[in-house]
Amino acid sequence: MGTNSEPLITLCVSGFPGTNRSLMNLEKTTGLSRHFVLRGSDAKAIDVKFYLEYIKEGKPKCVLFGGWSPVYDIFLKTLGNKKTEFGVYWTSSPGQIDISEEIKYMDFLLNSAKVKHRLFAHKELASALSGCTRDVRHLPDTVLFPEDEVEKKQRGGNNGFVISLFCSPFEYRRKNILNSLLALSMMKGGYILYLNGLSGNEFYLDVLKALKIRYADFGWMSDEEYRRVLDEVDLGLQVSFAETFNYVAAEHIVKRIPVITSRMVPVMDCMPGDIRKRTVVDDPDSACEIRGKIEYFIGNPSHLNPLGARMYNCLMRENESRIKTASEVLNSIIKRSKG
Amino acid sequence: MKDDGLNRIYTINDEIAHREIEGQILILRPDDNFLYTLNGSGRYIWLGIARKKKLSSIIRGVSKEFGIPEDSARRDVMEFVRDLEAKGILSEKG
Repeated sequence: MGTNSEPLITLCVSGFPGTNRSLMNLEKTTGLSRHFVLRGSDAKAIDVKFYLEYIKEGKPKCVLFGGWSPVYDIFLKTLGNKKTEFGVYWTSSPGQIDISEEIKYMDFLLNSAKVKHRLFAHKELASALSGCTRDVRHLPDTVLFPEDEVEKKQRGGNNGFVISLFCSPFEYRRKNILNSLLALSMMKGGYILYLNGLSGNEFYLDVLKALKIRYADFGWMSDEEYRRVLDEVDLGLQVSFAETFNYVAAEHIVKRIPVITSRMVPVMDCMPGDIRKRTVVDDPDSACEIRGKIEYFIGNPSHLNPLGARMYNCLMRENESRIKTASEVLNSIIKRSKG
Repeated sequence: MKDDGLNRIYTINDEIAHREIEGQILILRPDDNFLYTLNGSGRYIWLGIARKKKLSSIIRGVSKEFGIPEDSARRDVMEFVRDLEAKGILSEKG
């Protein structure tokens, strides 16, 4: 069947795009894990059977699941008596857990005897839980900076001002979509909004029409298409109510595209005060405040490139420290696991 | 004499994990996070390659098994092999 000898395997169902991104990035930034995406949540699916055999054959020291899905049960049951240990990498913040009704899965994670390693991307959540539950650690998100991508585009130029509002269809509530749309509707135009599927929702489609927002919806995109579309974006909108990191914001910054966020978007924590003043909204439930931030950039398009470059440098420095921490955590799991 | 490639034998690269499950071939490349699936004629060609058959033999087999002219079978097999070779899954046996 080919050879496999990875000590640490990560598995995640395709329905969790943020967690998959996180685990794919950890694979590439630390070089310590190997990540696989499960196609769905059917325990009898052929890809599940493939990975069960793959893991049995390779005998990794540890398998980490991304989030929690009932399909992971079959791995615990089938491989539970082997030497492989199991862990869960939880990427939701406490607010996200409540908003997205994930509490029953987190309850399982905290109480399952079969789960040996409990890893949380949200630092405060890990810190709070480590006082009352064993084997809890903080495993930070990391960002992949492509070596060959040097973006020099003049943003906000002659092709119209492109604003993005990208998120998974399961996350509209948490991503604060309505306030973002209201903010745009209060402006006098001069922009086009790029979406990745929002208009496929009949209610948001009606809102887009009622608010007379000019938009282009690309639907759910492949990674390649997403990167190409991002190249056309001048300004990102990610004014979320709750976040652990916010990969969409990070992916804009990696392309040197400024992003307007809420205070709840941790990827912005590494930015200095003057950048935060221009980009971070204090009250995400205020469409007027969001509008003010957008209007600044539409009125000052020459500020986009220098600001985007500074944001890029800040994130790159922050990322080095994140990769170091993540590598220490993954190395300690590999060393501690008995397999 | 012109080399039309039909006497070539291809092998599955060592680092490729693969398995037949429920009549489908599942393939995992070392740098991929997703599985490839082969069924129908793709599965048939793959099994021929796994058994170290010459391409000419695989082409005859595809033509017979799927009831298509040998010319069409040759195009299909060659395209399949080129695609998987480009993806680093197959190599021509030296």
